[in-house]
Amino acid sequence: MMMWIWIAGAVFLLGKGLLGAVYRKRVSPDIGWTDAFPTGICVEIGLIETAHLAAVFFGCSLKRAVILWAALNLLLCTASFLYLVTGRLISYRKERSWKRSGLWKHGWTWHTGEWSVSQRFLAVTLVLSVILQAVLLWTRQGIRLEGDMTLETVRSFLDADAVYQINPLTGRAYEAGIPLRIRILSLPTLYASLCLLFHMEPVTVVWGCVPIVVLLVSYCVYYLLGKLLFGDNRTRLLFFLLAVNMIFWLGDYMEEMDAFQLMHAGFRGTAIRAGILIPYTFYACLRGRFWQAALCALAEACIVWTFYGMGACLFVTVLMVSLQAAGRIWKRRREKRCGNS
Amino acid sequence: MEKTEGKKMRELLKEVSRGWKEMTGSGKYMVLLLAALFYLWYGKRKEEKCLPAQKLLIYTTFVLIAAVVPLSGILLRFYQTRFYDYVWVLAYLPVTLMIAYGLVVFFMDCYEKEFAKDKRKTAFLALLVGAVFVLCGNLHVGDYDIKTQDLYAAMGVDPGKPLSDEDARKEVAALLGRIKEKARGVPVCLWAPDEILTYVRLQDGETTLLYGRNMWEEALNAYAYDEYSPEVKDVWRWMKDYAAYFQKTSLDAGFMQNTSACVETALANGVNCLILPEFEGEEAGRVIQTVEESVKNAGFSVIKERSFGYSIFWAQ
Repeated sequence: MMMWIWIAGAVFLLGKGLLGAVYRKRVSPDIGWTDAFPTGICVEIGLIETAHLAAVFFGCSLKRAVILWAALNLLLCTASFLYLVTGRLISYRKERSWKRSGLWKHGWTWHTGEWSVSQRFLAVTLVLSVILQAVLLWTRQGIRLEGDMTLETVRSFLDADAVYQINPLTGRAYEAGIPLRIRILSLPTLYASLCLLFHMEPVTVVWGCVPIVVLLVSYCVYYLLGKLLFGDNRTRLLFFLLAVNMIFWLGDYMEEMDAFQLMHAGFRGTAIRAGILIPYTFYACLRGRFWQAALCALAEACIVWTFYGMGACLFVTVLMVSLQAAGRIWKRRREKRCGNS
Repeated sequence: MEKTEGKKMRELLKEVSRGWKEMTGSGKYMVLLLAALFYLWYGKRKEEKCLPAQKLLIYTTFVLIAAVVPLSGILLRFYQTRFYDYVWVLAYLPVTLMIAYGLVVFFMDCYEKEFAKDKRKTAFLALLVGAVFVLCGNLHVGDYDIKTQDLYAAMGVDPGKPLSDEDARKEVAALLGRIKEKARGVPVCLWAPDEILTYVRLQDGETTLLYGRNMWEEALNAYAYDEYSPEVKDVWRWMKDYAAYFQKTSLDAGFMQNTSACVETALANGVNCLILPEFEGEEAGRVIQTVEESVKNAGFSVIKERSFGYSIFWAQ
């Protein structure tokens, strides 16, 4: 239970704090709590990467890396909390009203207006379906083992109290070593840290908790995309989320599909990329927030073996920017031509 | 040199054209994506599409064409490197997003323009759309067990029902518990059939293995530079042949000759616990005897016990 509260709280605070600091507005009408979670995930990946690199390049033990990570989390979460609270207090003192200070502005639009019967039906169906997916993930049915050794790696980290010193598949020390590109991937360190901090079994964290978190944050991201595409049309937004939910249920026929990654391998870097980072990159590019797209690209580099290529998030960002720039140039030339004629 | 380059290019072209077939082979969500793109391009006027949707539509169409056309597909292939199969190009496409968006737009257009007053037609359309989704997708959950049937096949036991991965893990967990109880704190280095070794390191980080899953899962060899020696590979092949014994009428002649050498190699590499499936028959009995003698000849005392359908040898 503690772990769930900690994950939700830390990810939310980190994301909200960063968004608040970047936009320098304590209250931003279109940056709600759903924006905070995917941003917070990226920040969290950055923090664990810092601790992980300390363990890899400075020879710190896993326990020291966990202490470093926990300390960074505590520091940034506290700073974020104080920043947000003082911002609220300042707004309250100015406006002399919680409502006008903006506490109620964003993220609460769903409380305004009546919900029609169809909207309630869609919402209840969606919630029940998501809960069922989470239950299925918790029971660890249909985990895809082939080609993956995350759980073995986490166990080897915990047993050796060291990072990438022992071959996870045999339990023996490496003889020839591992590629540098693998050594900088930090997901096993993150999972091992969660196991140590909350005294949980690796199988529970890796195969149980993490896939559920990834799935729920993925729905947050699709919610943001739905809001962008459908605005305040609640029916269409709910229908959109239900369609995404259906695709996650039924689209797992191939390992490369998003649905497969989320439902059968939600602990892998490719699943986090497919479910959170890439959709959030699209959202960020469409909103013109390219720094968030860059954050996703960096997060991807920390958790997926992009080998010597640059990664999917960078590809998406560069292409979206190029297409948008090309579109603007084409539009300007057409207007010029129409103006001349 | 030119011929080699030409051959490489032809191979790449084949891989790209095969890639599209693989993407659409087992499920039809790529077809749904095409249908969604077609409707959004031609079913909606530009003014009816919001700006973000237009941008996504242009991006998706551009990348889809780039992925399918062989020459641009090769460029994508170079970008993502040959480490990944070509099908991973799907990562660049917002498949889930565009299918869901296209579905909503299509359904709501039909509802608002045609069926708003007719609930029966709305329900029928919803059922039709749902049926298309189901038929294009997959309702199998938990169909990715590896070697679970082989576990019982190696034991020569017919479980009488399909065996789940969870059951196989529980069986190995029970076996591991017995081993650790017997070991009484002494570090265990295990040599066992693949179907047991698959799950050992997943459940216990203390037990070491002579070889791991990367012996039979080639993809896992990409994560380290370490390689197994030819002798260790021979040990693996010996165990594989023996574990498949019950499916054959007899063991190969070379098998019995290799038994002592393989046991000695295993012991020399630190193995102190050997697990063999129990089979009936004279030949199987001779194998067990040979193993026991080999352990003794190597200077170890041997303790043998039977547990969960296996013969467990302890070399001390």
